[in-house]
Amino acid sequence: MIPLPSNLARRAALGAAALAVVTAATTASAAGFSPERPECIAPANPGGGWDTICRTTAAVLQKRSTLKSTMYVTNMPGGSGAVAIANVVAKRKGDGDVIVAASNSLSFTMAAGRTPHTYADVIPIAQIAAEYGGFFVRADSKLKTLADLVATLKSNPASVSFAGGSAPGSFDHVKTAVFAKAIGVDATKLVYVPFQGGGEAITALLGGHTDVASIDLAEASAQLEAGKIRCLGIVSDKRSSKHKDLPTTYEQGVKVSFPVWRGFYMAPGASPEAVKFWTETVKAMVASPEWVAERERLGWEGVNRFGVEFATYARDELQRYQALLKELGFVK
Amino acid sequence: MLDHLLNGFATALQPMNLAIAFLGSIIGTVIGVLPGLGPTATIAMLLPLVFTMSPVAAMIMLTSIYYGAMYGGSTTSILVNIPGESASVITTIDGHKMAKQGRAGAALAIAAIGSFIAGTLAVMVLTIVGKPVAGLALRFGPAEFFSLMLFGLATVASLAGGRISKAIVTTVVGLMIATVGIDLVSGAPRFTFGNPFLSDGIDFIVVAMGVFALAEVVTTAREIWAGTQSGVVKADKVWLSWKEFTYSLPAILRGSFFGFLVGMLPGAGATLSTFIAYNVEKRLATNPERYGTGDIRGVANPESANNAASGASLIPLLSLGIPGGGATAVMLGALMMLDITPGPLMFEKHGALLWALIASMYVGNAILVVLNWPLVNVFARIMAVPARYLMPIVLVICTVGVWSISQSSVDLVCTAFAGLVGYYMRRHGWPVEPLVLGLILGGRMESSYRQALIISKGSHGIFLEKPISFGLLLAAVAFLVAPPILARLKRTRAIAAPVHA
Repeated sequence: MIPLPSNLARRAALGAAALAVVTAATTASAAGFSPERPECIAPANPGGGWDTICRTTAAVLQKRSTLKSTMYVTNMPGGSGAVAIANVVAKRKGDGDVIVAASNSLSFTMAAGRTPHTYADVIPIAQIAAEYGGFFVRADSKLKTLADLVATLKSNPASVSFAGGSAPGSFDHVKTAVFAKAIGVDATKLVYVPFQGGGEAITALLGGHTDVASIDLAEASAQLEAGKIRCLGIVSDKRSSKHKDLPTTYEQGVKVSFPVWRGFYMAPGASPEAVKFWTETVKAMVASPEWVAERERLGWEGVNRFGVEFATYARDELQRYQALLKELGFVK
Repeated sequence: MLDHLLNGFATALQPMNLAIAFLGSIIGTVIGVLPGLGPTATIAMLLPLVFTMSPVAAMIMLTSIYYGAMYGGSTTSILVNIPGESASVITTIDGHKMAKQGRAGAALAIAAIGSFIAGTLAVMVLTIVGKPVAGLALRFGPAEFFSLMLFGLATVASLAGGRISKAIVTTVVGLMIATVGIDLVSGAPRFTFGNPFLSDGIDFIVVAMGVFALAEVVTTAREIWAGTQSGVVKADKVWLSWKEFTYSLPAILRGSFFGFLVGMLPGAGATLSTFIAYNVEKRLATNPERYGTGDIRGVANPESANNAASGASLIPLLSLGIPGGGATAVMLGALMMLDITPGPLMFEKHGALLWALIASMYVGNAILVVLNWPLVNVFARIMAVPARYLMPIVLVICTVGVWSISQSSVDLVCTAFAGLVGYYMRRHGWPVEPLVLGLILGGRMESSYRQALIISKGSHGIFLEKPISFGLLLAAVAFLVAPPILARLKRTRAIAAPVHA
């Protein structure tokens, strides 16, 4: 790790120049890179999705003894990833020991302009899994199938209230909006009620305060299993490998798919050796049986992209989200 | 059910689990005592450690920390006028006055006893009627929550002791501070000045350490400087008398009742329950004018309420799989990491674990009372430490507490500013508690209001059409309007019929 005063890091031109020299010097001496203090930053509190990525990764790498020392997990919550990316860009430049958990939530934070940074300011390295969200109703709901929902929305877009676990312009809302667009319904007319997390959204659904919950499959699975709620459709082209009995939107004739991916990025200025090391390490990890077992337990699908392919994917997705948010009136 | 519970006790009383409950209780008490470190933050910090344990041990550890923090939170409220966590804000009002009158020991003792009684009652109710009662939690949608919180704020007016206009102003300031951060309903950042560290809003601890701790330190420093400091308080008697106990018992029972009722609702939490319990108590109790002057019931009541609430907040988590307050949300995360998906089937699938957990809550309450018994004496002696030594220590601990939230210097600047404001408020007789309640409830209250309006498509009728919401609004109005009317009635009656003494 390169000790760097944070005010220096902020002086862009000077800082970058100084860094290039320092980085070159350190990497030259460390030919076969191996992190001395491997660290995974989870931009959220323990227990959430980002934290799970870091802890599962740390556990699997530990089990496989890939790293010389144990990987630390640092929780850096705030602003749906905005705090962590600001911190990494400002204070961890050139630090090859650290990887940061990411998902589409970060893309939404960027698309909505809630952070001045984009994927261009960091080094995206890997996409390691994906999961899907869906539309869920109470067991006794009048809406029996996705077709019922489509018909009701078409006759009056405001007649169904959707509960989601994030603010408008974030994942749960945009998923609903994309679905509405696909069936030819004006997405701006939807009744979307934002809650603090999927748990609150499902509580509002169970209590009969909203008609549909538009949340992640993982958040709904316990209530599904208990028969308290039904799934109208998973917003995907493929069925979930853990919950194979749940219908998808594709098979019910609505061609929308909206995966939530999980992945990592690295601090800007990390040496090519460090980037290569982590890319290879993560690549080997996701192929291991230990990882597959964990991933299936979590109900995540094995969707992988690495290096340039992932960076391009993330960049394209960001552009797509920016266009979407503009269309929905969230970004001018 | 009884054999389930007995099996649970068999697990909870295993030496290893007992040791873990003891350890958790100690950690919880310590963090409860240290201002700035709350149970939610601590449980979050300790989660990685907990991972390495078996699920039963992990859950016992987390719940005992949670309980311990609720016990310990009152200590600094009483001794140095600084709430250890948000649910102990109310305790400062009478608790610190008691300490200044040399009755710190009695205040600490009644806090522990009240907590024990309330905690045990809450677990008993949870054991017997957990599932049916949990259904009530689902009845609370956005409209009901808004009305509940409005009711909570309305009760605060009586905290001000006649200065209702000042209480309303400070409540509104609290509500305004709560608007900082990313707005849940529109997704737009508000008053963050482009600083990502403000995007999640200003934490309760950040403001509370300013308006309580810094203001206390500055006030004391000024007194020392001016030579008006009353000096070391002589404790006349350390322990609590039987008379004091029987005098507080109704307050404990009513506190437990309201604590349980409010704590059970997901998201309302222990803090709101203490405000409601205390202010309802002031209406129901005999000699209400004694509240606020160092009345022991003013400690017994909120401390019972917050412990009953923390027990009750586990009901929606355990029977429905939905998080209650802040700390239970973290515990929900812990359960998921232990591969236990919280949900309606949790008792069927992980019954042994949950019954062990419930049994360990009985055990934990007993451990805490045993643990706190000798500590009362120790803590009460802190009052004998001269302020010029005690206050710098307080300052350091509070600063560390604020820093521990998110290692952000922005938080420290906010605390310093809150300290200035808090000092001003104190010197000019503005009540601080309504500000804190406004801050704690503001975010949830605003989003509930707007969620309800989204559901009703803009019609305010939703707050009147829903019976629970309507009832709460009526109660809120009654709280604001009734006191002046009652006072007038009392006056006319007093004139009409002189008191037979």
